[in-house]
Amino acid sequence: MNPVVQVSGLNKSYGKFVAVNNVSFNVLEGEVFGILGPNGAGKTTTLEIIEGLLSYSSGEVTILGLDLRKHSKNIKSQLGIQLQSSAYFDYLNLTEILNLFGSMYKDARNSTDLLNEVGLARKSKSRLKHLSGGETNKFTLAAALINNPKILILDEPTTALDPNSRREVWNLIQSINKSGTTVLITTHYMEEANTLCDKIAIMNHGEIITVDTPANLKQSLQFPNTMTLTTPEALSKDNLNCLSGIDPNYEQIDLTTYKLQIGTEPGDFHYAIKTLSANSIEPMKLEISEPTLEDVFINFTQS
Amino acid sequence: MTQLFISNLKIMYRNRQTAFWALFFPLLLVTVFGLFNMNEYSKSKIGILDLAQSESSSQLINELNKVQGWNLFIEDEPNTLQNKLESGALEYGIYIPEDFSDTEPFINIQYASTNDVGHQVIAATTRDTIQRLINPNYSVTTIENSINKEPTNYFDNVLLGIIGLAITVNSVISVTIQLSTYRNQKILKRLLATPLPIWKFFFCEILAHLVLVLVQTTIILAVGSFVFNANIYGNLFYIYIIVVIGTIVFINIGFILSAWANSPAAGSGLGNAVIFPMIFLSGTFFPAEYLPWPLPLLSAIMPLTPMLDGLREVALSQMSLVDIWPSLLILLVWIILSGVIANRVFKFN
Repeated sequence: MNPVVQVSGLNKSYGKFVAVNNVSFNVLEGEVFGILGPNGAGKTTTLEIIEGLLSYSSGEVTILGLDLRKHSKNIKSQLGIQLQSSAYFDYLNLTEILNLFGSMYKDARNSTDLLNEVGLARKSKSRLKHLSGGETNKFTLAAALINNPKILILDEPTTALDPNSRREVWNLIQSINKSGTTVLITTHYMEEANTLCDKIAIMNHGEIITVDTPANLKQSLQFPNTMTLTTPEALSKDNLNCLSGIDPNYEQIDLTTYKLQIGTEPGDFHYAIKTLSANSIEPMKLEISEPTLEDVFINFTQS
Repeated sequence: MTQLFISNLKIMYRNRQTAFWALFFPLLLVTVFGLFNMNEYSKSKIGILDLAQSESSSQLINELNKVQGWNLFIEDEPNTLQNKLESGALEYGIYIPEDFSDTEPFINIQYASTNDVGHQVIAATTRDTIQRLINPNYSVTTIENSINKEPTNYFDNVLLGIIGLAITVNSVISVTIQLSTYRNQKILKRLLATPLPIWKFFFCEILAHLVLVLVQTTIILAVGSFVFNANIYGNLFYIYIIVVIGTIVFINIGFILSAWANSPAAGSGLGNAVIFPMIFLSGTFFPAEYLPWPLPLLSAIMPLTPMLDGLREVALSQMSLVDIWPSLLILLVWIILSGVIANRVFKFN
């Protein structure tokens, strides 16, 4: 697959503050590429540079084979953009807003079709202030699709939505992606990144720490599995020393619950069980869970 | 671009509260000024030309200067006095001839006002002063010439001032508030993410406001003329041309102020701080020449002043656009200056 977004050595500074530091990544055609990072990591700044809303200090940005500095207008006409937070005109209804934005592009989609696609056909004559949070996000997504974009850029598209609305928006994004649109998304929801993204860049303090698929990121951890052990009563000091033998950094959740990280090899699990048994620790409950993207995120952003 | 212009018009029309106040406030002023007979309270503007330059003529001028209700302006040249009478800058002209003497004093009074009562008062006061100063038994001849002018009154002047006020408020304050709201809500940022050229956004904003201002001007002129019998003699098309030119200046000022207003409330405060001194200094309700020095100088460089001067000269003195070229030139300079500044300081983010 061809890269449709190529970012190389991108830097953006505000005076002495470096917002984006030597950021490089490629987004391939047809994939959903996520940028994951805590607040203030530089995700939105990076996106807004790609969208042509912010200038950049140095580096190269090529979108659909076009240099951003030279072909900003042409690039804008091929991007669909949903900003992190933006309102639309209060006194226009949904159809009118879509028609207005459609008039700014050479090839615009039919507003009625778009509202149908996002499930807002019934609200076509409503104003934005009369929509729920989920409906508003669906509408801003529709507005981003008005020019039938090749690349859809979404900045935290489900922030402040309830779980049901969030899943509805995810379904929409997945269906848009299936129709061939490349999606570049920022989020700080692990589940969202895990569900939607083919590839994830973890960003912190203006830098990209790692870029990989969600599965590879999970596997990249030194102790990828978590064992949650619940005992009938609190463990003695000797027994706690035994837990240290399995995981020196084990965590005591409450009086009788302990969380340990163990390797993924069959021998690692066998060793843990054998050690517990040898020390007469009889688990009342034992759970083994694979690492989540949250573990990956915490691991990378706290190190 | 047509869609953007139409959308702007819809936004204005549907924002009924703003539209209502934009139209209602000037109409309220028209009603207030129309119901009160403000002419009773205005002072007569009289020019005096002393061709005799004698002791008695100086004495006469000193005495006339003491008359309450008169604003006496000493003129040096007959042409200057005549021009001011014809342009409406002065209402009466008193000519003291070279052969003004103690024995057979006569005086020439020209009047550009159609206020008959005022005219009789001027003539009688002048006659009485001469008789009191020189000899009570002398008869004084007054030659009274009417300059061929249509009758106008204080309300006619104020009505045009109210048009200026409406344009200023609608353009400066509403543009400043609207754009700072758009910026706060990141609507401007969203527009910037489209391939729409910035100039088209500016152009459509200006165009939509011009439509509102032209509607506003028509309503004010109609209510003033048909309800309160205001006199508008000039070419209406010329009036609208001046309105359009003036509006562009004030919209540009709105664009400039919106760059500094970080919220709609700040935009409102900033807009008011700029326009209200201008409204009072530019002769909207009272002539700027009565202001203490150096405020008349300040008034002269404000954009509302040439707009009001132009409107009054066209509407009341029936001048053409060519006749009022100095006012139009100042407005055009303001358009260029404010346009360049607006383009430099305006921020989408």
